[in-house]
Amino acid sequence: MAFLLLALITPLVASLLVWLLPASSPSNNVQGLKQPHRSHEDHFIWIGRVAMSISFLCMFVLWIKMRLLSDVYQFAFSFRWFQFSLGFHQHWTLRIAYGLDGLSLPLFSLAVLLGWIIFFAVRPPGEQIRVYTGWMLLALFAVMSSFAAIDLLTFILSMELTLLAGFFLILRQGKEQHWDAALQFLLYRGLASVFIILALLGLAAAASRGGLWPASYAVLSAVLFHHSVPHIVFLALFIGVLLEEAFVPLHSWFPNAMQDAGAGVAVLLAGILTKTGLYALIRFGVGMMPQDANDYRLLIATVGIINLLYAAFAAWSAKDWRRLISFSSISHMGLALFAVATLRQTGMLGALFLLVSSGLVSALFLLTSEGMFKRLHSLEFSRLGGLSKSMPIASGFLLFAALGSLGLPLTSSFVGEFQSIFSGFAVLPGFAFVALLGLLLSAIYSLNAIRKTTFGPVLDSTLMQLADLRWLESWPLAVLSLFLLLLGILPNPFAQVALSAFHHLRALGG
Amino acid sequence: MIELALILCLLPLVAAVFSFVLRKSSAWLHALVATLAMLISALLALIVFFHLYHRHAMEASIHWLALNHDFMLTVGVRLNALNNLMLVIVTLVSLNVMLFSYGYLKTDERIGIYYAYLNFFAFSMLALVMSANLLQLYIFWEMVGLCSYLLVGFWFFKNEAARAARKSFVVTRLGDAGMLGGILLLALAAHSFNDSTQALLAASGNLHLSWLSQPHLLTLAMLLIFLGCVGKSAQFPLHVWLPDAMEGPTPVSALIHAATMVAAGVYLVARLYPLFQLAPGVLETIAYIGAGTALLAACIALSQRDIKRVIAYSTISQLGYMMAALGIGAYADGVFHLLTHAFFKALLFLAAGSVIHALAGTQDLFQMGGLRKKMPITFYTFLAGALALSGVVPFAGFWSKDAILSAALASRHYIVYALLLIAAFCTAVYIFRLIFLAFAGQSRQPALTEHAHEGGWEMKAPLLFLAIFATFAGFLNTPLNDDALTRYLEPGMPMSEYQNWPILSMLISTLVALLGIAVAYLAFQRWQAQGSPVPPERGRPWWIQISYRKFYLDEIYYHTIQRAGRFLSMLIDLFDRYFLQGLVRLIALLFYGIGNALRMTQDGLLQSYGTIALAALVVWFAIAVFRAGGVF
Repeated sequence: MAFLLLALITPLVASLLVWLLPASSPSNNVQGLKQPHRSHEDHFIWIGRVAMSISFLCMFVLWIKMRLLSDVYQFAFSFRWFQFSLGFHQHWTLRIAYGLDGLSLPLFSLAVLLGWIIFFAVRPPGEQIRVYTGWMLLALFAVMSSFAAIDLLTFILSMELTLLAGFFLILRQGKEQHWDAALQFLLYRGLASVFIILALLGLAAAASRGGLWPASYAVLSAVLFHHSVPHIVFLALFIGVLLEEAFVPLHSWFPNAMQDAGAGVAVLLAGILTKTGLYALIRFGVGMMPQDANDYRLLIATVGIINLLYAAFAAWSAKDWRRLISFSSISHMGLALFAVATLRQTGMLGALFLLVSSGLVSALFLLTSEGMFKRLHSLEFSRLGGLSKSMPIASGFLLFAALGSLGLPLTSSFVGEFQSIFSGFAVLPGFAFVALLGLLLSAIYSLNAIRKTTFGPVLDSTLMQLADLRWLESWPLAVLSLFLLLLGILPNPFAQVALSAFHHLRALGG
Repeated sequence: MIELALILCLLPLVAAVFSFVLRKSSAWLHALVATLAMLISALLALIVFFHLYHRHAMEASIHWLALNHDFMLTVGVRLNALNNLMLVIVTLVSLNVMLFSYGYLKTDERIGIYYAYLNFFAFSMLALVMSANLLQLYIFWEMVGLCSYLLVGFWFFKNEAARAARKSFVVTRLGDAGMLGGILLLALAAHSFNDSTQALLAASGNLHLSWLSQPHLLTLAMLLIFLGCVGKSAQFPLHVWLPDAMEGPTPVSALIHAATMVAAGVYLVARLYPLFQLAPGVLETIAYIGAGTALLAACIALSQRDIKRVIAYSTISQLGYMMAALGIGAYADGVFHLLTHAFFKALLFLAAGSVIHALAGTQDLFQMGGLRKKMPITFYTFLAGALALSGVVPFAGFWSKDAILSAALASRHYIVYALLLIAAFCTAVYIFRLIFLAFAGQSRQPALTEHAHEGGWEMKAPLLFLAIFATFAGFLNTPLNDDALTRYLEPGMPMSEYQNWPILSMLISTLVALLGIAVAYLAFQRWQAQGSPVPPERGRPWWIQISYRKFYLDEIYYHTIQRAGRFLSMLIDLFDRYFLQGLVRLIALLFYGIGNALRMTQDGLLQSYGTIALAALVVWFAIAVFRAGGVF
């Protein structure tokens, strides 16, 4: 419990600290000493680094202390927020409650890992560091808290906080047209949270006994396991998830936001924020409304497969890395959605693997391409070519990310893909056959982009003289690659933890 | 034995890591480490092979991944007759390639990376062969594909190499996607990824899924798995990647074409033979695809100008023989041909590499000529390989190719036999056309061939070593020694089947091969008499043009599949950018308009508020009056 609390609270405290500390006045620099790499706001980013490092260490302790084969929430703690009096001797207590199980721990860890990497790998322009660090820490806290929440109210609050922090991050960090992208983010995800909140309220209402609306996940799943929920509640949740997760055709905000965002924000968006929607679908949809999920499995699978193919084709015709990364992420999430629709343990496991590896792959893609962007000021394929010559290390990481994206065995993406399709063959064979096409399409678009960027003849002499990544730039990439490989080569510890959360799915089959 | 096998498989991996980490160190160090590692691996493979020669298979596995509460995936090692034989072939061929590569690439500054890839390639293939279950096999199957991608694209700054690398990966990936589907279907039905378990269940008719049961399920799954083999082993219609793959360094081609990549497809069909036998329709398909590919590729090879392309198409053709052999039920003969082909094809490629190296990268046959005197070792070893390829007594290819042909006759597959026989004729023609053009007569580009000379000992030794194998490997499995290899691979077979000499078939195929060589010689004489004209790019007779342009298959694929895919992706891009975004803007505009319209009512002018209030009051009164009057 202490470690979960520590992991959660450190980014929040650090964020408050950033806001409370005075912004250093830029007058230090009037001497005319131009120091592009040193900034007067440097200490703020160190606050972020230290805070996320503490969370990162705590995360390892959580993995070690996690008890396998137990489907109760672990490390749980809660505190009372406020209380309604509902007449004689009856109180309705609102709580903030946290805990982790096999489903949330992997995603929580993904958020912590990527948050940690973001602070070490990305440095925004000097004058933005304070604002960036403050909002980024808050956003990370919010998203970690939404994964660790075990109470509806806590989840809803965290989701709204994510929205707020994400909006300001995009607004203050964008490269151009910040306002458009930020507003789109706010509107789409705001609408998403409206739907999800409505669905969660519906859930609580359906589970209500004696006028009390339960909010704790444990109570909700226990009660709802034997009772059905109106279909409209599930549909509201599903629409909310489609918006939140940027599923076609409600995805426009995601590529737009990615196009304009700075690297750190882009990692946050593609790596973490677009993973909350599917989490909500598994947690609330499959976990608490299994009957409804079963009734709508064809719908979910169809949407998933359409996303898989549509986004893959869109990624094929992308003209720059950012758009390719966004659509490749959507495509992987489409397969994960299909895996969820199989409603089997193997499928859920596959979806979870896909969520985590898509986060890792997107981050690796984004950070590597950022290294190229810093030197070239462009990520359009038409401006790149033959970079292997001058930047072999960056090209190597980019190739590795592409291999992860196309689901090469020994990376975690492969584990997720084959589990999803394996599970699909059991219950939805037609869809699973179509899903196999995704294997081919992802190879086409990933290797196309690699061929245009790092292979081939060098376009012009400026590309010849680029400096390769320095050690400081490349070690975060190495860490990400290591995690991708580790989960792909030794997936079992991860799978055992995840499976512990899927006990209750046995009722639905395999 | 399991430990020995693990060591022999992991040694190349260690060498790969070594070369990758110390990629800046000098060339000889990489070559030494790689060759030593592979030498030990080869010795260990021989020890494993002979130790287990008369024994049953060995298998050991450990847990890898839990798929759900009662399905545990494992990884492990399986040693049986076929696998041990493959280990020997792969390590022996790789050993020669490792040594030869040093001579070929010692001036390349990225030789460390090259050796890292090459070692990883060998490791992947060894791990593939030793896999204890199909998922593990698929994992290394993809690793082999990755290594071939990296090595074909090794000279990434050449546009053709970059394209060829991507093509090799994507085309084989098409097959692999099907193969993964087949593997998952089988595993789901059998509740196990272990192919022996699957074969046992299938034999008793117990494979079924909720939506499909045994005969159809097995046919579907085996067809899908065969699709993977078609991609990997470059069979029609997915053969188009292999000729392009020669954009990589030539020793890599030797490795890909002989031991590691393309052999994997044939190996998989051989490995899953018990399952394929239960799906006879699939076996028939394999036989015809194999025979068709053998003839098609041989026809294309007849007119190619590039020395490596001729040999590349010859590989496709020979793989067709192996597939056809497996398809008509001649399991051991197919594997036997895989073995002999591995040696003589590695030899042909390395000898071609020696020629290209001597000519500073020239690959055009019409610029060569007269190399016999300049490079005698290369010439005589190449000749041994060519005689083995055309199937002349007593070279290795004769025994294995004739075994396939006579098996086709014996099993009454007359169409397959005819196709393979015509292909055998073409084989002799094209390989001796190559020999005459490159080695015979006078030099046609004296400036180019003047300084041609043999490479160092590290290039000559592998040629001689492989030439010995290409000459004598056939005696492993002849009627002289009661078909030892066949009995090793199929211990259960009755003896009598192998004790008759297929004299008639042997006579026919020898005659066909000699006829082919004679035709090539006559054509060469005639061509020399005409003054050795270089054929023009256009204006050939149409039957030669079709062969030269590879039956236009690349163009057909480009204009249908590739174009269609691009078009679809462009369409979706337009739809996404303009239609969907436009729709979003439209909705935004709608709300904006509503807001604007409503804003006009809120203009802050007391008069207009008063007017609206008054109008509303009037309407309200009117309604009230009419209601009181009973109108509504």
